Amino acid sequence: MAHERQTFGKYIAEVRKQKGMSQNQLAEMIHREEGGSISPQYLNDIEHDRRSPSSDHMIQQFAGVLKVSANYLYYLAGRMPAQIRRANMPPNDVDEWVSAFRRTTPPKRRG
Amino acid sequence: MRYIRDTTGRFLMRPHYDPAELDRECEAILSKFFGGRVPIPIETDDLTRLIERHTSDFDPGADLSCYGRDVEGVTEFKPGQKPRVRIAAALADGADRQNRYRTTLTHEYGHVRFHGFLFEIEPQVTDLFTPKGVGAREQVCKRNGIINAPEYDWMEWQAGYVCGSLVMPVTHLRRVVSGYLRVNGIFGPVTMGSAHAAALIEKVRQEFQVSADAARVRLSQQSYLHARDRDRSRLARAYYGPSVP
Repeated sequence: MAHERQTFGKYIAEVRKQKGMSQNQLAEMIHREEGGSISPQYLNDIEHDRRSPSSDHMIQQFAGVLKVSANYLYYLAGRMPAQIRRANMPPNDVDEWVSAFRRTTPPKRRG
Repeated sequence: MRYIRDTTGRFLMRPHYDPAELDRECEAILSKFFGGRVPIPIETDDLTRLIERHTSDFDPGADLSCYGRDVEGVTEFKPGQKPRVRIAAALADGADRQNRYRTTLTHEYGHVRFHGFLFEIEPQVTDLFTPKGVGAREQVCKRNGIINAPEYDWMEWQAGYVCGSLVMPVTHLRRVVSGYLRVNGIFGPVTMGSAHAAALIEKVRQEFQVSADAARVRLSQQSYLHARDRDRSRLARAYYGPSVP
């Protein structure tokens, strides 16, 4: 059976359930930059890949609350962390960063 | 539970549960989930965590408009996988629709727990006129059948009964009702439409955080409410014709 592609939303939902949290509980713990928590509906949309996290701040919040790698979340969200973007790296350095990231992230088993 | 012939033609055989069996099963499910004492009213958050344990995906913000205007829940069965449940976004979003959200959620849970295995053990009956696989593994639930479906639609009826049994567990319901009857010196069932019936429905509604309709249906199913004599004969005439007294 082919493995389903991992997405940001699926990964967040998976870890949340593993930790026995409800959407309401997690949504309350994720704060927007401008203050206030995100709504459970917004979190549900993120988990079903109908919406993407709106900022790096939010990705960091998810990583902190769920205790998962922020780099992996950036990767799933199709974004590079802010310090990488700000560094204005030449292509080779970006490649190196991605390779280093791949080395630290074990590939998913296929079966 | 016993197996009987499925006259709807969907399966060759189908499970038949006595209401008391469903009540026992639901109390066991809740007691296992909470590890003993069941908090009343059961919080919506706990109900969502319960359904998430038994589904591959639970989406309370789904767009179900493609199924029709009055569809509020869909359970999708996939062999080898846990079912997928979707609930219309309007229910979870609306603060004034929380009771309907709770009953729809537990109704779909009824399909997941009590019907999921059927899609694993027996291929559904198909005929020349039913294209194989077209909508065959989806249970589409309309608003008016969530808490009280007609008995001939056994899947909907059982899921509707489970919905009431989960949000108003029978032991707790008995405690609430017997307390009310004792305080008011009532022996036996309360007549529908009376002041006591309205007060009892209101008490159950508040204790279990359900709608008045859900409370009324559950109280009737448990025979705590009965129809007035004139209503009963009107219903009998409508059903059997004028020859019945």
